[in-house]
Amino acid sequence: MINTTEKIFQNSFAQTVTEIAKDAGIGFLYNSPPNNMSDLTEAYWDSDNFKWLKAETLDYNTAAEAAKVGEPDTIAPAPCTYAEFKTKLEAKYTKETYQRLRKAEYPPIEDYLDAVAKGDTAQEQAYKDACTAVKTKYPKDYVHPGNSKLTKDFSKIA
Amino acid sequence: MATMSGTGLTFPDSSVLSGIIGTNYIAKWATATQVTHGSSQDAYLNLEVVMPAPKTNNSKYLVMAEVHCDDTNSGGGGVGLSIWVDNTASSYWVNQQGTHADYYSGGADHYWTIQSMIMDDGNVAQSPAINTSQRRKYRLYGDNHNGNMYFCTTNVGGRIGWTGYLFVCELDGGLF
Repeated sequence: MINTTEKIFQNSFAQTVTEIAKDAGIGFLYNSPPNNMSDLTEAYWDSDNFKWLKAETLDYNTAAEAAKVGEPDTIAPAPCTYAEFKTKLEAKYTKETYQRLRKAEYPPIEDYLDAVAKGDTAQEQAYKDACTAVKTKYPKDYVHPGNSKLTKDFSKIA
Repeated sequence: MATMSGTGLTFPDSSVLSGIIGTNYIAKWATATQVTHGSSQDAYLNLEVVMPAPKTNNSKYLVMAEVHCDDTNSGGGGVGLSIWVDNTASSYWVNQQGTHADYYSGGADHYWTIQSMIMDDGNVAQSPAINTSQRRKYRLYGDNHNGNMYFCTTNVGGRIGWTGYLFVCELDGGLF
């Protein structure tokens, strides 16, 4: 699991685009996704690297149809404004950041199952305490510490 | 499937590629641009090779491709590559691996390196006949299951080199 700022931001971007497109019943196609919020400029939003696609393109499956995707008559109007998109993306990025960093440091769930199987309430409580400590370490408004501060063993390695 | 024999490369129709391969057209293309798409259908991966008109109608094309992929949401997903050809009249699928050529159903942070290799003799799948009056333009497309895939991704740690490539080589029909 890579938890670099770029990886989390790109995944948040992809999920935000996917959710908006799904709600609008349309498709999308983008190249060179932004690595951070400052990369997500209005110029990128309006560029050929980022396109909303008409609903019918989702059913394209012939070679001739596939070649048409991205041409002007396959482009759909943006389902939201640039500002609305940024707001949703910022919220997604914040949520994704604390969730991914927590996930990387939660104790193995096997420890909890082992405690339950043995009826060891002390071990069970220790597991819960460890989870709580992780939640406290990464609150829901946690700001990514920067790639150089990622100290969990494999947080920076795919 | 072609097999090596004592005198050359033997194809299923018993034709044999022999002699010195010195004047075949060879082209390759690479990109570092990440692409994603909102559906499970075909996403063009910005990989295109245009081959000049073939030496003979009997030529064959060796097409090879490799793409690095990464899921965008740490959920389940699948990938496959599709090889597309345009012969100036229309375009056709030479091969489609489908959306589950490589697939995971569980949620986690998955990465794939997926390859495709096909010998296009003008008869495979929808491929049109090879004709000396027509150049052939090959492209690579990506299919994915769940609409959650980065193709040609740069997200793979420790990676050096291309994130995707398409390679096409004409085997001169005059040598068969």
